[in-house]
Amino acid sequence: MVGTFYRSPSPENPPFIDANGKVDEKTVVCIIEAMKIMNEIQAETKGTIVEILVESGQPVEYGQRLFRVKQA
Amino acid sequence: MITVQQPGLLTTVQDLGRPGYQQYGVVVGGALDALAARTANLLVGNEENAAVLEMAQTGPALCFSQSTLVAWCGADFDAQINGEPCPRDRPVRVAAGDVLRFGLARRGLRAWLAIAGGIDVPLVMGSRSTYRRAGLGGLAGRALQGTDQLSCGDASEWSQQILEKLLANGQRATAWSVRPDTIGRPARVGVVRAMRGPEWEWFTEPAQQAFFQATWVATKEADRMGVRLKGPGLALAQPREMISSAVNAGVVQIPPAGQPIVLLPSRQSVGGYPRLAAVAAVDLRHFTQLRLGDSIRFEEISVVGAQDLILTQARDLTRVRLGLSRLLA
Repeated sequence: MVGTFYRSPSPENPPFIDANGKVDEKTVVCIIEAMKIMNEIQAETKGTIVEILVESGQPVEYGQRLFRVKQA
Repeated sequence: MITVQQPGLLTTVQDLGRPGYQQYGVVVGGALDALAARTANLLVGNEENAAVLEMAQTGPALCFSQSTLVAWCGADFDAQINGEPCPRDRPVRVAAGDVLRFGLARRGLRAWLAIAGGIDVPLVMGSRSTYRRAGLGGLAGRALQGTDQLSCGDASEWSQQILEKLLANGQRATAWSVRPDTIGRPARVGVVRAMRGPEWEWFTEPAQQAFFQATWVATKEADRMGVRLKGPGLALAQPREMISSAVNAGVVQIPPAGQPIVLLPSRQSVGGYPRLAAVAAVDLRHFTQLRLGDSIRFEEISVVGAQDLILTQARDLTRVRLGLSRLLA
């Protein structure tokens, strides 16, 4: 396991991005927590979020798909 | 060297306190939120006990004469470096000539700023913590003033490598953070866990129930020593005087007026009011963020439960230390 997937910076905050949300390379789309270190993950591509494939709080693996993105 | 351009409302040098001298009446004191101070120190590669700046309500403006790494944790302050936001809970790079300015706390009250190498002030009785009432420790035993100058110890190798990485990537701050409120098992918002105190049985049953059921409101009588709360009057079953006894941070004293005082780290060493309860050590930090009119509730926890919370927090901090050391592996 790499870490835990979080869709928002904290439970009180709204998600970084929802389906149909527009992203560019630098847009932060989620946090992966490992060893209590919150790593902000950038989209690294430009486009529109089609689907979010994991639930907030779910453990994720190396290479696992997190989002489906329609590239612009 | 760091030049203080504006001191802020009440900014003091604090480490994790001055234990071992309570028998002479010397208070322990130290950073009111030890977890926040420790986390900030870890984020700049310091020893967890290194001296940090504690600020309240309005923070300081600091000009740095050389590049270094800083990190701050605590209340939601409006913090800026040369006018750009300075994010919380992560290492941030400052360059020579940069001005780090903390404005008002938007939520909460206090924050802790760590600087790589730690604030270098003389050790007094083994601690760098400021104790203003006695005028000892920290910077001449007082809060910061405009035109003060602060120096820091040597930055650790970890800190220098993080700084170099940020510089190489052209980043101001890292894309990762460590949040004190995710370490251990935090209480629900507005709730603190507390144990029954040594004089619990002295109080009437309605008072015992009211303590854990009522909503308590923070009054303006609040400082580093303690916070007085307002709520239903808590009465003793019969008039009784007690011989002054040891108190520790988190003890909930009930003076004759029946309104609780929660003691914080700069508390006195003994007290003469009945000790109805004691706040779980890991939840004491919430009292350091209460503003006038903020409310809080107490939830009962056993001594074993409270100890378990401390162990969970310690285990999580070990994880953070390991995680941070692996970042450069």
